[in-house]
Amino acid sequence: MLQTLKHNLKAVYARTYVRVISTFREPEWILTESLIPLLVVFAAATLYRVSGSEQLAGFAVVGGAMMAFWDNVLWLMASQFYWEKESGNLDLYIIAPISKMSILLGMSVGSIINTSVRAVLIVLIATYVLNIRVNVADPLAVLLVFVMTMSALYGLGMLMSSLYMLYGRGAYNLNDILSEPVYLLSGLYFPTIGRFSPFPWVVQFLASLIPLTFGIDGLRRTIILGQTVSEILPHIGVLSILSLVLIPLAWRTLIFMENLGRREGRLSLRWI
Amino acid sequence: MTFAAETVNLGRIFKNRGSVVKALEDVSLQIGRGQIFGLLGPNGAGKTTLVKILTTLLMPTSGKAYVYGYDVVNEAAKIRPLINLVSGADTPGYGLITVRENLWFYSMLYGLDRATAKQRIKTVIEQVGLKEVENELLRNLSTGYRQRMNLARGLVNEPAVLFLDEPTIGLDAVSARNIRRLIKEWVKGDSGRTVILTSHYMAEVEEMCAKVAVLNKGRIVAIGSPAELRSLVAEKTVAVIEAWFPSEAEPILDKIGNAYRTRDPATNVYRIRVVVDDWDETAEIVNIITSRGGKVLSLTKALPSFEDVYVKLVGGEEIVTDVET
Repeated sequence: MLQTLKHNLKAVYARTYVRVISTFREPEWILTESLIPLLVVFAAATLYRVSGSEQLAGFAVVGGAMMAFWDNVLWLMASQFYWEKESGNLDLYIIAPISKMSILLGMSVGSIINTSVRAVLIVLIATYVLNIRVNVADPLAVLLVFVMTMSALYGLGMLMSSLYMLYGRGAYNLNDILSEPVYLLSGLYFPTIGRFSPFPWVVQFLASLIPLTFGIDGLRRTIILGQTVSEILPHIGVLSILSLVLIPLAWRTLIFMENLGRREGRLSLRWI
Repeated sequence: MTFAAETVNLGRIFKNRGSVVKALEDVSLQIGRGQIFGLLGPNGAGKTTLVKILTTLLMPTSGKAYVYGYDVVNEAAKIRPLINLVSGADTPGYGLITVRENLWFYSMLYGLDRATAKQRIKTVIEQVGLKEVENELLRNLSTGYRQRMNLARGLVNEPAVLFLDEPTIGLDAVSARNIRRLIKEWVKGDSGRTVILTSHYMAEVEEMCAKVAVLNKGRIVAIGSPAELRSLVAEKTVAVIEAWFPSEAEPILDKIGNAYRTRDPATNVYRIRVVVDDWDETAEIVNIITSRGGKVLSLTKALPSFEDVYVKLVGGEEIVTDVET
């Protein structure tokens, strides 16, 4: 049991290493992928500021930083198995004596490390250029919300990756369909839950099912509004529930899809 | 002692958009340990499907398959530590990490400890001839080196059964020869290591394999050592005809049975190799060619080869004679 765990942790570490090292060997990616979200942040923050909403300008910075994570989940987690399938790596993962969940976990940890660098860059540059007032009263609250957001968000990424495992380019169309609505509903541009939200409660409820929504709201509260752990307990609670549901669901789905793929021949055949 | 691999009435059907394809039908095989076993057949014969089933990537739709006595359906987890797969059509690995890092990555999937992984990687890098590029990014390597890296990856866990699916496809003559030499050395001795090799290069199979199964349209049409298979045509005669055809007459080539052909696109000259029971049958073939304006440039008698066995068994479809290409 311990030996199996150790073996799988090695696989997690190895997959994390590959993802992190590959990204930092071409660091220009970090810059180009940080610049585009920055433009959106500048546009949104300026708009809020000229309309007299100083706090919302700060919200736009946090939203812009978190946009990088959503992009990463969509394009480098959910559709990753498509590329692995194309190169032949997916076959090798399947026949390796490891839980395929280790590969997904490694991809997630690597992605979180890489994207955190981008997100920090976005926050630092945008905060400096736009002269945003940051008000962190409880760093532990920021850390807790961030960790729980990553856990729930990458849980969703792992679930999507498992679901996409058997599909080819069709996964890309689904990504396109999901991309903008999630930007809108999760509050990347403006708050979508709570007192600043322009949406009726039904839409707010649906939006809250996206891990990013509570994550962004929690980070805005702790970074811009200076709230403490006791004030964001509902956020931590919701994000914990989402993590507890999404990660085991991703695991089950991965096993189901692998077996379905082996049964139907859709795992490694590239014409499907 | 259990077999390295065994199949019993194995079948696999694919259903895709209403059509049903029988990729494998009633395949029964017993592959002993410590040998190179060849699976020979034209494209679509079922070779890769069989390998995918034995490597636990695909489940059979009928029959049974075992590797080292373990059922591929219910005991896949016991098979996986014992095997590895190298497919010539694939280019696995990550381009932005080095050859050495790629090999380390795959060694971690097999749970090797640091010292063993280091030693194993050093050994396979030397065995496969990757020393001069071990610190190069994978994306900077030529096809030949990438294929060598792929083979090194397949050896890194020291599998008991190594599946090689068209390992030399697309390689230049020197690289292909090196890979064949390496595989033979890897199996040599009493290591008990088994290689299951698929190929449609007959000379490759004949050179490397102790035993060969010829597959056609999902079925095994012959099984035996290359020498045993060659005896199937020992009593026959082979006519080698060089002929030129006007393009509109090319369909008549299909009327010549038990033959395979290659064409020089520059001159449109065909080289046709025909297995005949009696030399007199060649007169009829010459007649077929000349009746539609074709010209016979030469007609020679040849000794039956391994290629002719293949022609007899599968009809010469999609044959590849030149292993050096």
